[in-house]
Amino acid sequence: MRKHGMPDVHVSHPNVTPLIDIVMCLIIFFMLVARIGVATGVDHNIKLPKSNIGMALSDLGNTITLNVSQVGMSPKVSARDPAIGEDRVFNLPADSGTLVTFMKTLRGTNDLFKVIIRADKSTPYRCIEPVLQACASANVKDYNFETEKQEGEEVAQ
Amino acid sequence: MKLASAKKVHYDSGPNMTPLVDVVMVILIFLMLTGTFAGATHYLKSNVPVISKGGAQVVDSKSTGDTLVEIRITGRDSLNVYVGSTQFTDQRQLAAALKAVRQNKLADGTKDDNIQAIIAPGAETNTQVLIQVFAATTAAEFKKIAFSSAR
Repeated sequence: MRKHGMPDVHVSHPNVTPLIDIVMCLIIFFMLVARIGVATGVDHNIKLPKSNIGMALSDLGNTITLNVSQVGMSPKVSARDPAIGEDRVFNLPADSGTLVTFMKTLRGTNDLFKVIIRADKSTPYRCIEPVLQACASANVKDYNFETEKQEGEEVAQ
Repeated sequence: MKLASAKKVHYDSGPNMTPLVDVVMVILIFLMLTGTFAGATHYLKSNVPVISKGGAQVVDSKSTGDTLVEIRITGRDSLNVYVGSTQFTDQRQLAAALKAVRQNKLADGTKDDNIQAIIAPGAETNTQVLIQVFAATTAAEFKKIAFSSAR
């Protein structure tokens, strides 16, 4: 009688191929949505004021972002110049004319041109007023204050 | 004499995937921690430039026949606002009062496009207070909001 030995026990290791597929998909997702090292002209040192009401801007293509802060007693405005790809700094009031020329150049004949003002929450109004004056001189018809969303109910129903 | 173990079939287990999974997980965690999604910000919109009182005028709203509603900010770091002679220190109450003012103007026959809200801050009023007043004016549904020169 032929003896049959016990068959060998095969330890089946888990198939990791689907796991790698999913992880690769997640990596590609985060690489696409994450913004690392993308220069948008935003000064992250500025602490924005908070508001519990506001709107989203649908078209950010015709915009320029002005970062407004206070240096000593004078306002400082920085903005990304799309022509040279670098930030430009305007120390007001000395550079008011340069700022107006800069915005006029960017605006051209585009009536949809918008200015986004990012002012630090502690910046006094006397530092913001020259920026608004420059916007008016450059014939900017649409300007927006960027604020942080504040949790809570809206101000008015 | 052949040994029994020589007859065992050797299965090819393939490359070891564990280090690959480890590296991929590290990259994934790096991207999750360093990436920044769209910030939680929104915008308060204005489409009327600053109005000067006297001197060189940027916009002369009086020549357009607009009805002016002046909102004076006297506080520097805190909300202290006057609409007419009424003082407000609460943003909700300010918004409600401004809404009532606007409704009264509309009831008087003034068109919505001819009602001009003017925010008159002090020179030292900080941006946070300015934004609170701006938000209250926006909540009151004024279509035209402008800023006056610093007092």
